[in-house]
Amino acid sequence: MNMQKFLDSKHGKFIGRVYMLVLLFLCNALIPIGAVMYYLHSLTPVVLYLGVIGTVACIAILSTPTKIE
Amino acid sequence: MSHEPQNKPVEVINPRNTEQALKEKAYLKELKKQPPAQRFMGYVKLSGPGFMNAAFTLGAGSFASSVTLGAAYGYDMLWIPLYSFAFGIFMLALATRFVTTSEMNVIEAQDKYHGKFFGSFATGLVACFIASIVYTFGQYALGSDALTSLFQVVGLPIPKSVSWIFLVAISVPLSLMYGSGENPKAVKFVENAMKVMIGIMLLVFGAVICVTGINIPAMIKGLLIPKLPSGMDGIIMLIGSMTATIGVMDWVLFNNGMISRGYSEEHETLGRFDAFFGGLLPVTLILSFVSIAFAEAFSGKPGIPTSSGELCDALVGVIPSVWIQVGFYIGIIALVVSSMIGLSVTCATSFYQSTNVKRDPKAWYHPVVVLAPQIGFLGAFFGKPVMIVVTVAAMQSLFNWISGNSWYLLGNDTRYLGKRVIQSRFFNAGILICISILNIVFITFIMSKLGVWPE
Repeated sequence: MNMQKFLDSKHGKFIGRVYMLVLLFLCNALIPIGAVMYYLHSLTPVVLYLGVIGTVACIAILSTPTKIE
Repeated sequence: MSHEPQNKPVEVINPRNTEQALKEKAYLKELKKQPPAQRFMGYVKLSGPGFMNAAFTLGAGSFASSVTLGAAYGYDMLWIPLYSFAFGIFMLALATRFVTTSEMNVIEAQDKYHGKFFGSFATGLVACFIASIVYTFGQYALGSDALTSLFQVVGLPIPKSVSWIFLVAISVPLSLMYGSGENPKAVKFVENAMKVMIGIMLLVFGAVICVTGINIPAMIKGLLIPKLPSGMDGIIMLIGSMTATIGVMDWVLFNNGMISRGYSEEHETLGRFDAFFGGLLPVTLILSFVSIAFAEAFSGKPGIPTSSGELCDALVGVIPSVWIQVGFYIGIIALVVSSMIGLSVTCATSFYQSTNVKRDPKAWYHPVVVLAPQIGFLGAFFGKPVMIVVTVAAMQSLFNWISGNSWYLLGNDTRYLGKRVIQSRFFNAGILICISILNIVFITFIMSKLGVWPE
């Protein structure tokens, strides 16, 4: 599916960009949470990595400009 | 005998149509054809809102953060003001796009396209109006302290309970002049006063590091290579510094400064130039100077004071020249006064944009709205109301990212910006990195309050 079309068309109540911003927020949240898990409790670093990779992916997708008709 | 109508309707002047704004527009068109050096000088001459923004950012909060970070971590944390302002500059560029494209102010646009919760409530009332009142307490606390210390240096025993009056005397007339917004010459005058205050800060804090010394390689490393502080105190200081340097109030102030100056499409390059040379550059330089002075004087030494006030007094104790001691306090006063003017302006503009109250500079309530933050003079007697400041900081931390998301959506919304909607991946990515930083700051703030951040 065309990414720009997904971002700028409505899916239910909101446009795709809104859902992606919520996903970005969740990925951002994983970074400090993952950091605490890894550095403080010596648990798996997967959550931290997921947060960083997810943040980069969301920014890459959300940076797609709107198409001017 | 002529009879003037008693309730003459107030004529609202569109700043874009003033003689000065139209002249500026024509001059900018001509300037685009000039060689780079001439263009640079032309933009310097016209700059203003960026300096307003810098003067506003350089307040009690960012000063205290730089003092304590410099004393505790030496040169390692110099990157914080540079990086946070550098990412924030994308939001200032976005504000420039809004002002130069549409005559609808951003809070009104947020109300229209996203709902009143995002515009009037989150951006206007909470993140700007209430915060501008609460943050003035800290300015008075630091400013009256600096004034009393300044008077002591020259042998005048004037207590804090009196010295705050000097802060009122300087900040009130300038706030009213800028806050009326109806006279572009007055706006320009206040902007020039801000430039002078920034010049004073650069000069005096520069003189202080001439006395304390400077380690150039450590400065370059500290500025360019980010290093995270260790422990809870370090993280809280980091969060405090990042939010003190740039947040939603800074974006709104810059946005409204450009509206007051009547910015239109031709002003976009000027706005970006101003955000960099008027905002980023002076803020980074001044906060770095402050941090360096305290790093040189205290870093790595045992038993250093922990509060910024005590640190300032201790620093003055090691400055041999009375003139530089006086200059140091004058620098702090300039920093505080310029911030107070910014807070008054933000308070008034966000109030009018968030409520249905008509903005009428001749109405009885106008001075009350502009000067509402002056209630902060109580800070000179009682200090900062810590619990209120923490609550507002938490709310601002939340509303920073709510507003950031809303602004990003507006930047990509053809209903608001038409064909001038963001067309650059780089621009969008910069805005999103800024939003991500605000998100992480907010989440870390919550985590620190829950006690899950490492000691």
